Formats: sequence, C-alpha cells, structure tokens
Amino acid sequence: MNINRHNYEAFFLLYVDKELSAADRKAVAVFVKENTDLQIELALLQYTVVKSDDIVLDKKDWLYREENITALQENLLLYADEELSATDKKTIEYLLLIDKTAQREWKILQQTKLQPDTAVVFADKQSLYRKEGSKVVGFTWWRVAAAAVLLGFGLWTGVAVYKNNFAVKPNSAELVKGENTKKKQTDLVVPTNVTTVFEEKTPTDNVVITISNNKTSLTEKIINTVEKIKNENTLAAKQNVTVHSSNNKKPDNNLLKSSLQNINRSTSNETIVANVPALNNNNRVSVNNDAVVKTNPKENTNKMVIASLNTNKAQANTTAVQVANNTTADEENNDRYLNVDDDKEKRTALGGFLRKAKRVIERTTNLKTGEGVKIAGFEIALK
Amino acid sequence: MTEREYNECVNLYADNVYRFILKNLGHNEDAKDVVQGAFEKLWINRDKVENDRSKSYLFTIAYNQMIDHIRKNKRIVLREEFTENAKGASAPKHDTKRILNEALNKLNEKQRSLVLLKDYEGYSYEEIGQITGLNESQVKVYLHRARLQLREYIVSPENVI
Repeated sequence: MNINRHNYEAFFLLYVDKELSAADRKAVAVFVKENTDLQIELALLQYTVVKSDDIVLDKKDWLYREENITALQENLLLYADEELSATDKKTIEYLLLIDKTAQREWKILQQTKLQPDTAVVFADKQSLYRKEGSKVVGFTWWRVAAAAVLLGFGLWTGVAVYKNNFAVKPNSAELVKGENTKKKQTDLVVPTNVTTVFEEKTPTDNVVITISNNKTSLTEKIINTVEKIKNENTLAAKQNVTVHSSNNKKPDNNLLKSSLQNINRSTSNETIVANVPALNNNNRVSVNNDAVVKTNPKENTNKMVIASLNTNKAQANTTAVQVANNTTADEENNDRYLNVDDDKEKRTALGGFLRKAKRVIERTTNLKTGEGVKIAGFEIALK
Repeated sequence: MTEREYNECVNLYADNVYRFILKNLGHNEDAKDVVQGAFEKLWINRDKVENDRSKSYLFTIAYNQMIDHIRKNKRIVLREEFTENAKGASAPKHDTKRILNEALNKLNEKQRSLVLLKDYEGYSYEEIGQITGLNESQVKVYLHRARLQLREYIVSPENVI
C-alpha cells in the first residue's frame, strides 16, 4: 500500500513505533519531503515517544542467590576470607566456641584453604630484569656548527687574554695622573710584576710607592725600602702609612693598560692601609686593621715618591724613581707619564723596520696611526 | 615507575605471579611465558603504573593473559587435566594436599583463580574483583561456590581424610 494524504497518519504512527519495514520507512521519508506541511505532524508524533530514564540498580548483591549454602556456611566462609566486620567476627568466634556443628563445619572449611607452595619459584628472574637504554640525542649539523663557533670564539678569546696577560714590558713604568681630573691619585706601575705601594697620607704630604710583587725575596726588599722611607717620613710628621701589596691580585691589575684605564674606577685601585691608626682615617671599611683609602685630590700632596723595582731578567737591578710632584691649582700639570724602556722587549728586526716605516709614513703624511702601519686606509697591527 | 622499582617488582612478585599461573595452567613453560608477558607489559606501561599498584596490575595482566592462553589452548589444558586425574587415580588417596590439589583442578578457571588469589595472595573480594574484572558480589558468590565444591570433594567417601 502506498502512502498518500488520506492514509499518512497510520504510516506516521507505525513509523514512530519503528514498526515499518525499511522500504516503507523510506517511502514515509520521501512523502514527508514532498509534503512539507506534514513534517510538523510527524515531528509532533515523534515527540510523544517516551524515552527510558537512566535509572540503574547499583547494588544487585542482595539479588544474588547462592545455592546449597547455609547461613552458617556463608558466615564461616566470610570469616575464613576475613571479610567480616569486627562485630560479626566476634559473633562467629563466639559461635565457634559454643556450637559444635559450627566447629565441625569450620574444621572442614579450614582444610579447603590452600597454602602457597613457596618451593615453587620463578628461577629465571634474570630474564625479567630490564635496563633503560641511554637516551640518544641526535646531533644536527647546526648544533655542530654552533659548537664549533663557540669553541673557536673561546679559543680566540683565551689566546687574546693570555697574550695580554703575558705581553708585559718589564722595564716600563708609567706614572699616570688619572683621567678623572678631580682625582689626583698617582700610581706607578712596574710591569715586572714587582710593585709595592707605600703611601703616606697627611693633609699636606702624600707619598705613594707602588710595588707589585710575586716573589717573596723581592717583597722583602721592597718592604725594607718601604720601611726606610717610612722611617724618614714618620719623623717629619705623624702620618698614615699605606702599604699596597698586590700579591694576590690578578696579573692584569699590574698591566700598564688596565692601570691606565682603571685608575680611580675599580676597587683594585683602592689602597689597602696596613695598621692604620684610627686618627685621620675616615675611610676605614674593613673589620680588621686594614682599611681602604682613596686619595683625595684636594688633600693630596705636594710630594710624591715612587719607588719602582725593576727586575728585568737582563738587569735585575732596582730602580727607584722619585717624582717630585708640586701640587698646583692647575690640575693639568699633574698629568704626566713616565715611560721607562718602553720598547726594549719584543724588538725584532722586522718590528723595527715596520716601526721605522710607520714613523716615515706618519711624518710624510702627517697621519696619526696606532701601533700598526697604515697603508692605503688599512692599518697593519704590529703587535 | 622507575627502572629500579620495576626490577624490585621482579624480585618481589615474580614468584607469586608464577605460582598463581602455574597452579592454574599446570604447565611450567606456559606459566613462564605468561609471567614473561605480564612483566613485559608492565615494563612497557611502567610510566602509567604507580609503584604501589604494580602487584595488582601484574596479577591483572597475568590473569588476562592466562585466560587468553587457556582459550587458545583448550585442548592442551584438557589433556593436562586428564594427566592430573590419571596421576590422582594411581596415587595414594589419603594426602590432604594432594586431594586439595585434585579438587582445585576440578574447579573451572575462574573459580580456581579466585581461590588462588584469595588463598595465595590474600586479596580482598574487592581487589580480586579488580583483577578479574568481576564485581565484589560476583567474587563472593563464585568464591563461596568454589570453596563449597572443594569441601564436597574433601568430604566425599573416597577422599575422607
């Protein structure tokens, strides 16, 4: 029978109740598509279908039945399996004391309990052991390249630092009045790594001797020298005596360049005062008797003695340079450099030739160059 | 679970799992295979398994693998049962342990497993349910039924101790 506008209701009801065959369901679907005004009618019928609620029975254990088991047996089995509550357990234990039937049943049930056979073991445990494999990290080309660049940079930096640290001119000494014109600290650097600073600070006089020392014997000599100067000066005035001993400082603190750059800027240029009396020492910072004194240019000195020990391998003599520094109001007068045998070391025939060439070029072209030779806008470093 | 904890599990539980499986299968090599498989699975899933749950996890895997194994090798199990029965027929009767083992072999796989998990490992009904995939009430019913079957076998006239 075909569905039409006269009999569609019967078809719709059967459709909703899922009682139609697949062909008829398809026919109903086509009919509804063709008669859109009847779609609502079918939808309304579908809404009338009651859906089952999600009600479930959680605990069905009370519905389970055990055949051929008495209440006593069940309780005894639960007792054997240690599944009873404390109260029920006590009840059963009491029952076992007084009831012979229960005792007999319990005796039999106890025999059904299996005991693990400990003789049965898994012998080949080695086959069960496992070890985690080490994680392999793939090395891509860019990682290798980055590592190579870093390594190269590190090597290059290391070599440069090494060269800077050990390319020291042994016989050069330079007196610098700092770049900062307000500070007039005078420092003598003796790149033989033997430098001691002896500084006397008074309102009127200030004596500084800088000796940087790495050798014990030389230190003693220096200390003797310092002591002599100290004795001379203590008679003249009651002053603070400052001894600089940079034994423990890094070698680059003794470098000419760094000394020039870092004067009055870093703590390495702070003056350690040994046994400084409390008087006139307002700059004490440490707990012990050492104190840090920064020379005050305004109070600074009219007199400066710089003792320098030159321990060049060739000469091994000691040179003391005394600089009388007459303080004036004009600070520019205090900026002076002392160059002592600056170019003695590392002189080679080629180097000399290049330096000469450089000077000639400088004179003829009136160009200021650095340490290298400048040719056609390029400068060749000599060092 | 770390590597060390896994290997500690081997030391602690390999014998227990092996004993449980061997009692069920009655075949040494098959039991070893199941134990190997269980530990292999534990190793693979070690990141997901907490150490304190490792024992029940092992037993669960071993139990499931054993059931699979039994289904695949039903014929072999029957033959083994026959062998046991044959041995039992010729052996002296009055031996509690032997009689109990005979009775145990007469149980179906599920009942036997429940009895072994209870008696050998002392698991609670709830834990046995988690291992075997049954609910607690089912465990209780099956276990009691099994226990009574054992009892009946023990008190039968031919096996009176």
